[in-house]
Formats: sequence, C-alpha cells, structure tokens
Amino acid sequence: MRKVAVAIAATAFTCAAPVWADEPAEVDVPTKESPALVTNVAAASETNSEIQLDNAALNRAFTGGEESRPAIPARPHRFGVYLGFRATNVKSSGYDPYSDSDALAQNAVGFSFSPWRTQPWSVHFLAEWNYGNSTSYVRGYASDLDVNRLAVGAELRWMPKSRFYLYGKVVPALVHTAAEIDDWDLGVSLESNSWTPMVDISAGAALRLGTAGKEPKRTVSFWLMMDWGYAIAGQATMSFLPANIDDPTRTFGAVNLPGLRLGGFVTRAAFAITF
Amino acid sequence: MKTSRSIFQGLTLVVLAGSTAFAAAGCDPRSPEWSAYLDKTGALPVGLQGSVAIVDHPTNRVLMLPVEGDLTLVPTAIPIGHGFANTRTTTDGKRFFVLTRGDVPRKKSTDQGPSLQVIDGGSSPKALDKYELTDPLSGLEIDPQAEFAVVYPSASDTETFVQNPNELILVKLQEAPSASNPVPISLRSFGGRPQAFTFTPELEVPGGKRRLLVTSTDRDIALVDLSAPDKPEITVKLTGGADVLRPVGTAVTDGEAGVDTDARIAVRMANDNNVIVMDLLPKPANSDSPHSFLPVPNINDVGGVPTDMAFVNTDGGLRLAALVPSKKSLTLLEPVTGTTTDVDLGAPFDRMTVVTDIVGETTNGGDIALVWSTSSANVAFVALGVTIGKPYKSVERVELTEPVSSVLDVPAPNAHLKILVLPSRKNFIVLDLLTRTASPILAGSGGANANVSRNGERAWLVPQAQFANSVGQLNLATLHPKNVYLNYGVTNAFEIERRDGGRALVAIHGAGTMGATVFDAQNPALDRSTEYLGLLLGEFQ
Repeated sequence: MRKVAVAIAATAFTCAAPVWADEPAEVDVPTKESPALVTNVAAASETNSEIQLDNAALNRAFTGGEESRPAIPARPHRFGVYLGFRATNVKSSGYDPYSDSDALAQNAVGFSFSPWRTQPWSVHFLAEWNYGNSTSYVRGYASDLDVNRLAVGAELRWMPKSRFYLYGKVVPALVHTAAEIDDWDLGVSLESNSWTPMVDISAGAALRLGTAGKEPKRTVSFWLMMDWGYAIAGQATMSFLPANIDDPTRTFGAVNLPGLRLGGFVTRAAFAITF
Repeated sequence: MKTSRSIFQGLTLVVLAGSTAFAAAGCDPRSPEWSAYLDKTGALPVGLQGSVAIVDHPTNRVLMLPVEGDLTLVPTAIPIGHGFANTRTTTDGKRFFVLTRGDVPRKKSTDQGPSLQVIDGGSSPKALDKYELTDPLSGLEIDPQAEFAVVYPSASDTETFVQNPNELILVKLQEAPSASNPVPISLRSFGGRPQAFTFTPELEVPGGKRRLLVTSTDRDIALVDLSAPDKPEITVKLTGGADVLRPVGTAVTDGEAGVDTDARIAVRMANDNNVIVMDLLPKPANSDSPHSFLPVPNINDVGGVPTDMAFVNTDGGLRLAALVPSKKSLTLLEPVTGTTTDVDLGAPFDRMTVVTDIVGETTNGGDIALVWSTSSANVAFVALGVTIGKPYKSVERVELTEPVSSVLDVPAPNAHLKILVLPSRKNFIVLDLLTRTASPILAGSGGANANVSRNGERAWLVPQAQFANSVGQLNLATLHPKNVYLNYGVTNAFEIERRDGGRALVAIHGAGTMGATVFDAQNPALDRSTEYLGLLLGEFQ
C-alpha cells in the first residue's frame, strides 16, 4: 500500500502542476512550412538575451497586447533527461512473498535522444533505469526484493501544440530481480538472483511547464510526462540458495518459490528537461 | 486559451482515472500461505518407502521429499484438506494417510468437510484416493495389511456440538470412494467409548474365512465383521455389576488350518488376574443373529495380572502364553480346558514377542518367545517346545545394564537382530536371536533416537539434544558405527529408496523454515551431500 500511496502522491503532483505553471499564450507550433515564424522568434531573442523562464502573461504586458512569441524551441529538442517513478500493478502470485499488495514502485531515470528534429511527428530513442524495492514477511521471516530494470526503446511523439505532446513508446528491457529471505532461526540468509526480459508498451502525454532561454541560443524546456501501458515480462525463476557461504566442499540444492513475472499495468510519471 | 484549458482538464481526468484504477488494482489480497506461520507441532516428519513426508498443516499441504540418484531432492507439495488431525503409514511405507477434520464448524456450503487423503509414499509421490467423511474425527488406525482404515473419535474431539463417541468410520482402502465407502458403524455401547483396535488376520470361522476388527472400549469388546461391515457388530460385555473391567490387550489365533471352530480371541484386562478367551463358534440354532458365528467367552485365572500375551505352539499343543510379572513367570493356558502351567522366568518380565519365524521352531515343533522387562535388566529366550516336564531348562536369560523400554524389529536380511532401546537412550543393545548375544551400542551424553532402515541393513541414531548436528550410522551386518557431522542441528533422519534404486539418508533440520541434508546412505559423507534450507517456503503453486 505504501507504493500505491507514492503513486497517488505523484498523481497529486501531476494535478497541481498546471497551477504552478503560467498560462501560455496560444501559439502555433513552428514548422518547416512557416519560416516567418522562425524568423520572428529569432528576432525576439536578439532583443532579450537574458535566460529567463517563459512567462506569456508578462510578455503580453510588455508588448502591449501585440503578438508575442514565447521562447519555445523552433524544433523539438534533440536531448532529454527525465526523473520520476514507474509503478507496476504486478498480478503474478510470485510477487506475494515479497509484498503485501500488488504494487511495485520504482524510480525512473531516463535519457532520450532524437537524431531527427521533425515536426509534428518525431522519433526519439531512450534509455531508462528503474530501481524498486519491496519488503514483507514470508511465513514469519523477513523477505526483501530488489528490482533493477535497464531499458532502451523508441518513442514516437506527436506535438500538435507547443504546450504538450502525445507519445507512444515500446521499450524492451532486462530486469534483474534479487530476493532475500532471512531465516534467523536457522541462521542463514537465502538469496535468489535472476535476469528476465520485459517489454513496456505505453502511451501518454507531456505538458510543457516552461522554457528557459531564447532561440537561436540554446533553450531548455521543462515537462511533466505521464504515460500508461502494459509491461510484458518473462517469468523469473525464484530459486533460493544460502548466501555468503564460501565453502567449496558444500553443495546446496535450491528451494523454489513461485516464479515471478513482473509484468502488468504500468504507470509512469516523470519530470523531464529537454534541450 | 480555451483549447489549453480543455487539454489540461482532459489530462487531469486521465491522470486521476489511471491512478485510481491502478490503486484499486493494487489492493488484491495476498495469497494466505505466505502469511501462515510455521507450526510444526503434531506433524513430525515421516520416513516412507521412497520419500520423506512433512505435514505443513498451516498451509494444508504435505511436502513430499523423494531423492534422485544424484542426491538432489525433488520436493512435491500435495494438498490436503483443512483442519489437519492425524497421520498414519502402512507398515511397508508405501502409503501415507492424512486425516483432516475440515472446517469446524461448517457454516457455509463451501466449507470443507472431513476427509482421509491417501498419498503414494514411493519415490514418485502423488495423491491417491481421497475419502470424504461424515464427521470431523481425529482418531485413525490403519490395518497392518493396508486393506482397511478406521476413523474414530479421540478424546480431543470435543468441538462438535453433538457427538456419538461410539460411531466409527470404516474405510475400505482397496476400493475407490463411493456412496458405500466409507462405512459408518455405530457400536452398541454400554457406556464405554473405543480405545484400541486390532485388525485380525483372516480367520477360518463358521460361515467362511473373514477378517474381524476387534474394538476395545473402556469396558467391553466389539467384533466387526470386515467382510460385511454393514451387519451389526457383536458386542461382548465384560463388565458386570460395580466392577469395571477395562480391556488392555488382545491376542488372536486361527487355530489349525482347515478347522473353522478353533479360532479364538483372548482379552486381558487392566488390574485383573483373568484372561477371557472367546471361542468363535457356530451360532446356536435358535439365534436370530445375522452372523454365522458367535463368540463364546471363557474366563481363566492366570494367577496374577498379565502384562502381555500371545498364542503359542508347544509340544503339548496350542497355548495362550501370558506374562505375569508378579509371579515372575510365563503362564501357559490351555484354551479348551483352562488348565495352566507356569514357566518360572526368575525375573519380572512384562513384554514378549514370538520369534519362531526368525530363529526356527524347537525340535519338538514349539515356538520360541523373546521376553523382556521394563523393570528388570534382563531379556530371556523361552523355548516353548520343552515346557512339558522341563520348564526351567527352556529359559535362557541374558543380563543387561538397564531394563528395556522398547524393542525395534529389524527387517530381512538382518531379521535375526532386535534393537533393544534402554530407558536412558544412551545405551542400545543389538540382540542377536541366533547367537543369543547382546552387543551394546553407546550413544552420546544426550542420548539418541533410533530407527531402522526398511531394507534392514542399517540403523540410524539421531541425537535427542536439540541442535546437535550429528547422525550415527550403525551397520547391522558388522555393527560398525559411523558418525556423520552436519552443518545444522538434526531432528530426524530417514533412510529411503532413491529414484535410481539406491539408498539415501535424509537428515531433517527442524529449526526455522526447515532444511534437509541428503546423503548416500551406504557411504554418508558431508562433502558428498546436498543441503537444502528453507524447505517449508518452497513448492507453492
């Protein structure tokens, strides 16, 4: 339930974000087909070389209601980094020994790169690392599960407005699960380690909170991203052996707990910076 | 502006809906077995022919542990019903029986009822028949020939609101569960309740050969015809007037082959000098009994309270041999005439077993009995073939250091050996019935529990002390002991047949989540063993 609370808290953050952000002027997204707009933006940046957060209301006040051009990227940024969380609703019964609920919360740290800066459709490649932990008691003995996920994938974006874009992505990954059960009575710790493949298929939306800088100089945009999807995962074999026993003359047999399939419905929310 | 607002509102709705759905989905209940604490009381591991069985009753399952040829375990979980009550095995270890009481009280139609689960105890264990029972009872006895089981109310069965303590459930183990199997049997009672059961061998009685179930209550005897259990039982009321006679032991003989009027059942009572011998004779012509035979009881005084008895052959014919410690004698009762002959044993022996099958009969065709005592440090061989006229020369005594608390039989090829367990459990005696020698085996200061392998080649001694991490192997051919040291405390050790036909020793570590170390039984060594820890966490589906 603790992880569910994290997810809901993140949701609350998501809901509050637009209040924190200023309402932008509604602008057309610059495209290759509208070079004049690009020219105007460039001209505006020449008169205001300070790096500042875009504030559309302020701009309107200074320009006397004339057409304003917020410092949005003329084309999609090539690079992005993001930090957030990834929550999975794990239905596998193999997850029960390590958790009192079906929720698995992980951090989400990622990097994206687009070699083609096209509009309104663009393709981005991304890499992501997730780490999550869950603890519980199994038949009275403490259990602990560490999950590391290393992923690379591709994302297709559709940006009809400068303020937000929709995206869908397919992200293959390798997942490392490390489980531990502490049998204090026998005086041993039992461990299980395994790698399994996983594919996330998800879709979501990103909302631009603001942009710093003016083109043609480098600009930095701040985004709130959230997506939902499904993770298809292989089943990890949860074979437990005693840990930290370095006697080569001893042979241990594994005790098998139910296989763990970390797939399920996935929610991901992140704060991203593109540049 | 309106467009941005609508986008924002749409996104907010999507976020809230997705998060709510996620939170709701995350509240599925956890499987209950992971929250079931370990409880090892009342469910000790059991060694079977090809597996070790551990009853994990908090999770309603039996964990079976067969062994591969490379000394790896192949744990298999077999579900059992709710409300574990009791277990039994067949003599050969090929079947394991688990009695469950179901959900008590049964409030919903989905609550489980009581049942008897039969499990294959071989090296490929599996669930066999499951017999649904009508009442939640805890007492269970298995026929030595594995043809029948009887479920009966034990003293601990007190939860049921209304209960008939004289109602038994007879299960025909050779037949599949059906409407007519199990069979409920309600004993006629004169105030008693069942205490003990004896499944007789096939007896030649009037009306044909059949087996009987002798049920001893605390004041009478009931005979159930196992060939027709739906017939009413025959109750022999032992108690009359103010004196309550409590039957505590029975002995059965079929008599001579081909004769159907000499089958007998003898009953001894607690604190009573008399032995009741029941001749199973044809029913009288005017009897309306549905049975073809009826027991005719004869009361015989053996001169003291008998503590054990058996039918034996002597050179004078069939006798009932009754041990009477107060007279330090073995009293031979002629069952037809009731005459008695005492064989002076010189010590108060109180237990006996006939060993003629092992050592061979006497030159006169008589049986040989081994007698021992729980109060005197002696065992004796009594050759019953020379009792007539020369009773004293027929007794050969062997002096021990302590009295004997129990005797372990050894299967072939070492059936001529008996392992005498002394009360301290620090000393064991390997008694050779052929050479009449008694070889002492000493266990460590904490004492040990002994068990014999089913192939009769070895005995295993497991320390009584908790957390002691050694097991002793005793080669019964050479009496050479070998100590094996383990990495964890041992609570039980069982020799079983491996899947490749070899033999394995499974030493159970009872602490915590339980573990096991698997050895080659013929040549156990720790560096050639396989260790398992956390057994009770595994094999959940």
